[in-house]
Amino acid sequence: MPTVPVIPSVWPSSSEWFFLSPVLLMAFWGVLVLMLDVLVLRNRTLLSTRAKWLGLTSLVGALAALGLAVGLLWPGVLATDVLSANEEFFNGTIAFDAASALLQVVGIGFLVLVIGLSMTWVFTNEQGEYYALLFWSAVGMILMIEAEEFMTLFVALETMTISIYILTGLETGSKRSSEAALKYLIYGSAASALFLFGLSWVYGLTGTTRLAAVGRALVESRTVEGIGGQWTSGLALLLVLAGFGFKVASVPFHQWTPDVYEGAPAPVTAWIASGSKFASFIAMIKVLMLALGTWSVDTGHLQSPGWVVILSILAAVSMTYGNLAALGQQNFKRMLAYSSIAHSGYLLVGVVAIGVSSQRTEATGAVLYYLCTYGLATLGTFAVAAWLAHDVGSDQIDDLNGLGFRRPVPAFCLAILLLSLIGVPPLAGFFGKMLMFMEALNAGGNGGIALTWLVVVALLNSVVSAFYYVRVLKALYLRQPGPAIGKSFPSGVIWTLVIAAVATVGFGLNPTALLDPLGGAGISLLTSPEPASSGRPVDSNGITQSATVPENPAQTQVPVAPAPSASAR
Amino acid sequence: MLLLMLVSAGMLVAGLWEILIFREFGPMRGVFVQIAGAAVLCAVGTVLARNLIHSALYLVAFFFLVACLFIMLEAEFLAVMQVLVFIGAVAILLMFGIMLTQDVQGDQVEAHSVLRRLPAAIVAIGLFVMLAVAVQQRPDFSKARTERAAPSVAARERVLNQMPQELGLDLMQRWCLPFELVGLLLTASLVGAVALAQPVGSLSAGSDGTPSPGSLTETPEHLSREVAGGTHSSSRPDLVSP
Amino acid sequence: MSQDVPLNWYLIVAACVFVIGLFGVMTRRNPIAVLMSIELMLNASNLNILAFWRLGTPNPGEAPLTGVVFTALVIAVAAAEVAVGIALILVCYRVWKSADVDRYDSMLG
Repeated sequence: MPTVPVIPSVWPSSSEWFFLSPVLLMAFWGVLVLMLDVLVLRNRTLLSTRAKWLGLTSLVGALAALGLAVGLLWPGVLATDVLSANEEFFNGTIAFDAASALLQVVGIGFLVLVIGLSMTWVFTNEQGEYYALLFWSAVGMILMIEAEEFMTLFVALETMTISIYILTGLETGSKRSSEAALKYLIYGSAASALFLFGLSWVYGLTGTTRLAAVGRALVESRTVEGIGGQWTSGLALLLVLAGFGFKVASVPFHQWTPDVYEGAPAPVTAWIASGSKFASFIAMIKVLMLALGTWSVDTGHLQSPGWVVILSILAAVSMTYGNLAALGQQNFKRMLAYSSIAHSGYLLVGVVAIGVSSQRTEATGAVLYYLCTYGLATLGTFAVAAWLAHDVGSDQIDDLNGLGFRRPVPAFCLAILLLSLIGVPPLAGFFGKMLMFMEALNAGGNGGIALTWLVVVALLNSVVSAFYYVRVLKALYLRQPGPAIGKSFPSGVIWTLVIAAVATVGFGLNPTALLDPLGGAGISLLTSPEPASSGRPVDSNGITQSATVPENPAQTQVPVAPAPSASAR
Repeated sequence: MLLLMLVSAGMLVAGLWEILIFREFGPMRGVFVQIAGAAVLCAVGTVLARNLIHSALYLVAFFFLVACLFIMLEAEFLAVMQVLVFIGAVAILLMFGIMLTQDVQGDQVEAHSVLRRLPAAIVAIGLFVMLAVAVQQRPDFSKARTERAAPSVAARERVLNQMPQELGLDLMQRWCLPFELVGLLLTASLVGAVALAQPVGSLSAGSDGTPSPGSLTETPEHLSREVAGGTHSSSRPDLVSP
Repeated sequence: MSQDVPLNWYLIVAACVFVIGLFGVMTRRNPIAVLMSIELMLNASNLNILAFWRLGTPNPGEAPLTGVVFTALVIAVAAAEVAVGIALILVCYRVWKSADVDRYDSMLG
C-alpha cells in the first residue's frame, strides 16, 4: 500500500488573490467607510449629511465589487486559470469555480439593494460602523459560499453572523433592536457551539477538514474500511444539522426568527432573510453533498436514518408551523418572519430533492433559482415593512389599508411579490416551487425513496399560505385608505420594490434566463475539487477535465448571468 | 462553596483511584483522571453556582485545567494561548460584565426552578449517554489506511517540538485565508462592540448638530473605558432608551 | 508520553463538559451565565479537536497542524463572540435595568 505524501504548503500566488478581488475590495471598503466616518465626517457634519455621504460611498464600493464580480464571469477569465478547479487553490481552503463566480454576483447584488434600502432613513448614529459591518458580513457570506473546508466555513459563518448580531442591535434608541440582538446572539452562539462539536466529530472520524477529502474518506470507509460508526456518525450529523437548521431558521431552531425579524432595523432584516439565508443554504448543500453525501440515506452501516429523512421531517414541520403561525399575525414583519420559516421548509424540500433525485444538478439549479427569486421577493416585501415602520410608525398589516388607491405603483409591485411568494403561475415563485417539487418526486434514482407525502404536504401548505398573503392583498385593494397612508414613498424603497417586481415577473416569464446559468453553477457546486496529486505546477489539462464534470469551464461560461446584473440595476 | 468542597473531594478520590487502579498503566493516566475529573467538576460548578462570581471563578479554573489537558496533548503553544485568551481576556470580560450588571458585588441570586431543570437534565443526560455510546463505538481505522497516512503522522511528530514556528508558517501559508478572515472577524467584533456600548442619546440629539463627545477614537481601550463609564452614568436619563 | 492516555478518555471528558454546557444554556436565565455555558461547549469542542489531532489517525496526505490551527481559530472566534455578547448584555441592562432574559419582553415572543 503506497503512502500518500503530505500536501505542501504555499503562500497563494497573486493570480489566486486576483480571483478574490471582489471580496478583498469589500473588506477594504468597509475599513474605508469606517475611516471616512470616524476621521472626516463625525463631529463635523449633521447626522443626515453624514449618513448620505457614507451611504453613497458604500453604494459606490458595493457597485464596484459587483462590477469586479461580473468581470470575473467574463468568458475565459476562469477558463484560463485552472488553479480555480483543484484542491490547491488557496491550499484547498476555498474554491473559485463557476458556482462561486456566479453566486457571489447574486450575493453582492443583494448587498447593493440592502445598502440602497439603508440609505432611505437614518436609524442609527453609528453610520460608519453600520456600513462597515454590512460589508464585512458580505465578505463572510461570500467566503462561506466559496469555502471548501470546515475551518474556513466555520470562520466565515461566524464572521457573517457576528456582524449581523451587531447590525441587529445598532438601531439607536430602540428597545426592541437591543433585545432582538441579544436573543439572536444567545441562540446563535449556542447553535454554533453545537455545529462546532459536530464538526469536531466529523474531523475526528475522517482525520481531515476538507469537504472533498471528508467525502472520499466516508465513502471509502463505508465500502472498504469500515469507520462509519453508527451512533457516532448519526450524532455528528445531527449536530451539524442543528447548526445549519438555526442559520436557515428551520423548525426546532426557529425561536429567534420572529423576534429578530421584528426587532432588527428593516434593512438588516432584509439582509438576514435574503443574504444570510442564501449563503447558509448554499453552504448546507455543499457540506451535505460533498462531505456528508454518504450519510444521506440509511445504508445498513448507519443506524441513524440519514439526513434525507431528517430533513424531510424538518421540512414538513417547518412549512406547517410557519404557515399556521403566520395565519394569526397582525404585525407585518412578524407575518413575514413566520412566512420565512415556511419558505425554509420549501427550500429544505429542495435540499432533500438534491439528495435523492436522479438529476442532482437540475435539482441544485432549482434550489438556487428559488433562493435567488425568494431573496429578491423578500427584499421587496421588507422594503415595504421598512417604509411602514419608519414613515407610518407602526408595522401592522392594517396600516397598509387602501395603499393600492393612494400609491398604485408600489402597491402593485408589492402585490406581485406577494403573489410570487404564494406561487401563482406566471411568477418566479411558482417556477421555483414547481421545479423543486418535481425534482423531489423524481427520486427513483436513489433507492426509490418516496417523497410523495412531502410534496403533498408542501402543496397543501402553499394553499394555506395563500390565506395570509391574500389578507395583505385585501388590505391593499379592498379597504378604505387610512389617515397615514398618504405619505410619500422614499426612492430607495421604490427602487427596491420595482427591481424585485420586475425580476420576479421577468424570471417568471422566462425562467431559463436564470435557470441555465444556475444549473451550470449547480454542476460545479456539486463537484468536489480534484485531489491534489502532484503539487505545483498544476498540469493544466488533466485537472479540470475530469469524468464527473465533462463540460465544466466551457459550458458554464456561456450564459454570462443576465440575471444578477439585471437584479442589481 | 459546597461545590468547592466537592472539587477537592473529587481530586482526592481521583488520587486514590489513581493509586489503586491505574498503577500498572503508568503515571499519565492517573494525572489525566485527576485533571479531567477536576475540570468536569469545575464545569458543573460553573453551571450550578447560584452566585455569578463563583460561576466565573469556576470557569477560570476550568479554563486552566483545559490548558493542562492541552499540555498533556503536547500542544504547549495552544495551552499558552488558552490561558492568555480565555483567562486573560474572556474571563476578565465576563467578570466586567457581571460587575457592571449585578451592582458590583455580583451576588444577585438566581432563582432556580425544578420545572426548568428537569427536562434540561433529561436532555443533557440522554445526549451524554448517546455520546458515550458513540465514543465506545468509534471504530479504528484500518491498517491499510493507517499505513497510507504514515507521512502525515511522521510530519505531525516532527512539528511537535517546534510548534510556534511551524504554526506561524502554516498560518501564513497553508491556512492564510481563514487566518486573515479571523482577523477581519476580530476587527468587526471590536468595532461593533464599541459601537454598541457607546452611551449615545437619541437620534435627534445627534442630528441637531451637537457632536456627541468622545466618539472619535476606536481603540480597544476606548471600549473598556466606555464600558466602565456605563455604570456611573447609567442613572442619567438620556442613557435610558425609551 | 501522551500515548499513555487513550483517545476515548479525552472524548468522554469532552462529551461530559459539552452536555454540562448544554444544560447550562438550557437552564440559566442570566445572559452572562449563558455565555459562560457556551464557552464550556466551545472548550469541549476544542478538546475534542485537539485530542483527535494528537491521538487520531490523520487522513492520508493531511497537513501536520490541522487540528492545532482549528483550535486556534476557535479560540479567536470564542473571544469575539464574548466581546460582542458582553456589549449587547450591557446595552440591554441599560434599558431594562435587569440581566434576565425572561424579563426582556418588548416583543410578543
